[in-house]
Amino acid sequence: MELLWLIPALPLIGFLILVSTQGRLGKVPVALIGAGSVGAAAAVTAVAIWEFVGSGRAEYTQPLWTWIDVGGFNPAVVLYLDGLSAVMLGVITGVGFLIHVYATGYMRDDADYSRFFAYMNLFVFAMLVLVLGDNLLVLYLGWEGVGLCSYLLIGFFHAEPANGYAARKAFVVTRVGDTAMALGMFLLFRELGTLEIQAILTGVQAAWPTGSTTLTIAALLMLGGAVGKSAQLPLQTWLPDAMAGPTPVSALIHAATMVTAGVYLIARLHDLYLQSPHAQLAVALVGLITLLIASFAALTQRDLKRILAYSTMSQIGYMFMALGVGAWSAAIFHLMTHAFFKALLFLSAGSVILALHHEQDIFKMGGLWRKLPVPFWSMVIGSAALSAVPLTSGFFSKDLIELSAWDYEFGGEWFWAMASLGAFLTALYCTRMIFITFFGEAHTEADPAKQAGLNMSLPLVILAALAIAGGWFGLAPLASVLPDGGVHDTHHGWLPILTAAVPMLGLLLGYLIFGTRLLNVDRWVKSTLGERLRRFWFGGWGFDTLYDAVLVKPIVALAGRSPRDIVDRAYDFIAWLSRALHRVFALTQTGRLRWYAVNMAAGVVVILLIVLGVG
Amino acid sequence: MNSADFLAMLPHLVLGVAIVLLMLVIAFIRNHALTATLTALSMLASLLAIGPSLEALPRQVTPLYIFDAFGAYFTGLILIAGICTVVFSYRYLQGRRGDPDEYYLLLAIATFGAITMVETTHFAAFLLGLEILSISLYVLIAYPEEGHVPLEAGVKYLVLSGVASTTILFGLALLYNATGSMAFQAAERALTDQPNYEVYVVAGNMLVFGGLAFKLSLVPFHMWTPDVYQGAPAPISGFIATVSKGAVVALVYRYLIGGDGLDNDALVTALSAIAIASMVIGNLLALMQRDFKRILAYSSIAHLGYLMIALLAINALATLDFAVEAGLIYLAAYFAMTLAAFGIVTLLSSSEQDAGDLEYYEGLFWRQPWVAGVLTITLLSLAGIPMTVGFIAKFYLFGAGIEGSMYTLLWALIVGSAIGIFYYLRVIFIMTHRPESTLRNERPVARGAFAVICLLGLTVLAFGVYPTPLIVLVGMAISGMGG
Repeated sequence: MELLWLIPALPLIGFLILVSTQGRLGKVPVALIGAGSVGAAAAVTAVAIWEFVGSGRAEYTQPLWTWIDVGGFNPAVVLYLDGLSAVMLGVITGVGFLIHVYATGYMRDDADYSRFFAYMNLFVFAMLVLVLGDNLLVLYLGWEGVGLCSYLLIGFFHAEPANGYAARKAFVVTRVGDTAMALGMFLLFRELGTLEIQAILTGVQAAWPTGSTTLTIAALLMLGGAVGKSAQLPLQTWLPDAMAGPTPVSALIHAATMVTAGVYLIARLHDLYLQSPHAQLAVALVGLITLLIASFAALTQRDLKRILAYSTMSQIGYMFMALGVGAWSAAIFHLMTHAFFKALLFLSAGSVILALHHEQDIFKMGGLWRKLPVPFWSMVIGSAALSAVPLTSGFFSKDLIELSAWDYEFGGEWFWAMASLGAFLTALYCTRMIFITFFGEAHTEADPAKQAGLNMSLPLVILAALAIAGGWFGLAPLASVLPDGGVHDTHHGWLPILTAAVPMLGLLLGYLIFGTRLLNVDRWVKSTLGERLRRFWFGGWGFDTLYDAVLVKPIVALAGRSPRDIVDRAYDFIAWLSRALHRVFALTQTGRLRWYAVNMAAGVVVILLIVLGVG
Repeated sequence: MNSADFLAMLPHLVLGVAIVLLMLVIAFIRNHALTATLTALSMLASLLAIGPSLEALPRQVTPLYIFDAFGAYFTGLILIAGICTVVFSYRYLQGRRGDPDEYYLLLAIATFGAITMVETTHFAAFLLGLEILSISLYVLIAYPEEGHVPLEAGVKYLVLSGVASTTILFGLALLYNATGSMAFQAAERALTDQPNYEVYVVAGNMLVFGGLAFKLSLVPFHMWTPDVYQGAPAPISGFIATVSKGAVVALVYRYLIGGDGLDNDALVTALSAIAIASMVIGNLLALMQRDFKRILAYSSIAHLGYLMIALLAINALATLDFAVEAGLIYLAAYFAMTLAAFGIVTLLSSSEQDAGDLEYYEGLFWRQPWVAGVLTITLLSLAGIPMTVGFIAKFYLFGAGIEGSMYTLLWALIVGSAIGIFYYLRVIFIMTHRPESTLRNERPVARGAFAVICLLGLTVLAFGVYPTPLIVLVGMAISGMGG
């Protein structure tokens, strides 16, 4: 555990080496440094977690240094390891390492190989800082760092202007959330006088009664940051466009790690929400609505990666709902299993896309299952886990969330029912994706050699194993951190059976529609209402259009109408004043020696007069 | 004098002996590389001698000098700045007409003058050190043979510095008249023993401060600064901006603490006015400036104005330590940033002309990305952006100002910094322009100067993220302050 600091340091070193050599290294050394640094971090993480669990401690802190110590403001850089951050560490370095290895193959034809791994290593570093920080300021540093890397990597193929637009959109939309979060931090600092997370958690109960307005505002502001980062309603619009980045980026940043940072933030600050039932209800509602909206949207997409993007959005919705209904551990449990199976799905999608020369439209695929056996079976296993087929990892975590929702005090039955509907839809869009992509006639000629390397197939196999078995063991270390005491389930009787059965119905229906074509739904889909609904869902429920109409267009129109508006005048005046004063004082710099000497003498005299006059 | 005295003076003795040896070597062998290396090594030896000397500190040697950890801190800073200047100068003087050897001798002597100034609590010794430093500087500024610009700068500095010295001497005469002593502590005693002499003490103090304000280039004694910085060789401008100002700051600290020099409201008011004027006018003057050396000159006026907050906080704060800590940290940060900036000017200068005009910096990111990167870090640090040492230092000043309730000064600091961001960022902006014309004919980058610049840039960044070593060092310097 003494080597905890090494875990973020290793990817940072990797980044520094890659960025300082500026692409002069060959591809093999770049791959060794890029993936190796994360692999080494994963190894150190494994040792640290082993020691941590063995020691039986609830937490371990490693103070590194105090940044500044002025006037009672003394933010310290301290690493904090407990059950929660241990799970996050494992996911980030473990899944991150597998994705890095996969990327060494996926990106091999790219000219900017070194730049790609430099950004990826920087991302892993920032993400580790985010989860290890003991102080909201350090957490925020990591939070902004991952945002920056996300921006850089979404726009990685910068020759295409649309990718730059997608990157800017992601950056600007998450910025809205980050601003809310910064305000929340200011509020917490003003009220509690500290930004140390543990001090905040203990201070919350003493400072405020349950349900206090200030507390609710602070909790909602932090939620604002979380929904921005995690692509939840109402700041979800950036995630589908973020798929413009290379597929390993989508797997690492926009599925497994960064987008779950919001879940981590709320779980980390759980006492804030326990003390404010309204804020917690808001978390649950945000999750529930997002998961339904995103499931419907996923059902209509044509682009393989966009299906997975909406699916990610909806699975994070499950996590938010779990946090909201008080199933803290279940949320983190689902975060982990989701990282396994969603990374698997993205990477196998990447293999398919690579074999089809960057074709992403599933209706132009088809008939691939014999040609691409490894991606095919990977995607089947990933989809099974995503649909919560019994005994896969997703089954344990998702059913636990749904069952916990049943017990929620504010309309738990409804939460359960809606979440089950979401699970049904999930199974439906999974079968749609599998059957259209891999069965039927081939529309595009596949080139399996493109994705045949061991460095690309081995991560798929390992992730597939994790997607199946990753949920068998539960998460014991969480018990000491989160208030619900870890992963456990006390339900009996018909409810668990029904919960498990609903996705099966979805799979069955999907099989009938897309697999056997026994059930023909074309008539409904082609009807006017069906077509309208399809378009509406395809466009992500029209949020982009809505925001465009309500926010972007009025502001642009307003700005266009008043290029010399009154607000600018104040700033213009400051600029004018500064320039004017500059010109006045510049006149004194004559370059004449006698003028300088006179000024000195005058200065002395004037000051003497003042001093003697006042004294 | 006994062996402990010699041990305490070891850094000074080493440099003093080395200067004599250097003079002898120059008489027999004229070799640019050899002279530069010897000078750098003598300063390095003197720097390393601080280590063993520490165990003898603090120690009063004759009534003139007090050697203590506080002085050792400044001696260290000055010697490091001296070594950087030697490395930059080697690059600067390469390929120029004339003999470069005496230049290094003068540089070593100037450094020696500066490190004696920081160890004294007596006006006689102070004046001695100041003149050793200043007289060497007159020659150094005018050293390049070609053109009249350096000569003009040298003469300006000579005359105005003479005016300043006269002011200081007159002030000293008044103080001596009142107290009958040249020791710093005497002024305080006089005020308690003989209240009738107060007018002499106050006026004397003010005259001394006026002279020192010239050396610190505070408004209204600042006008020489841009002309001299622009005219002098770039490494020497950096040397004046750091070493000569740093030594005076040390002296002011000793006088304010030992002699209770600020125990007078009128004096505090006057110095506050000087500080505010320096912060605001310094930054305003830099605003639309097209010459980078002049920008740095105006920026140094503003930075010394900021530093005055820490000096004035000595009076306002219940505990001295925090005020001194803030000042010492600020000074170290200022040294690193300023040296890096002038080092880069040196690196970009051709053997005909210094890289003053901002057009030398156009498109620097495309031509020399590393140099542009370091300059960006330096400028951000000068502007006080977080994660650089400039931010940490400014934060300490702010803390000191708030604890001392010096709100007017803090407002000036805020306004000044806001104006400052404009012209610092403008230089960065210019560096990102893709150059339209063909590439400028540049000399190959000198390895030594380049390495020193990178080290300085790294220091600026490292102490911005992890300032603990600097804070510990400053703490040691303060707790080990004698006399």
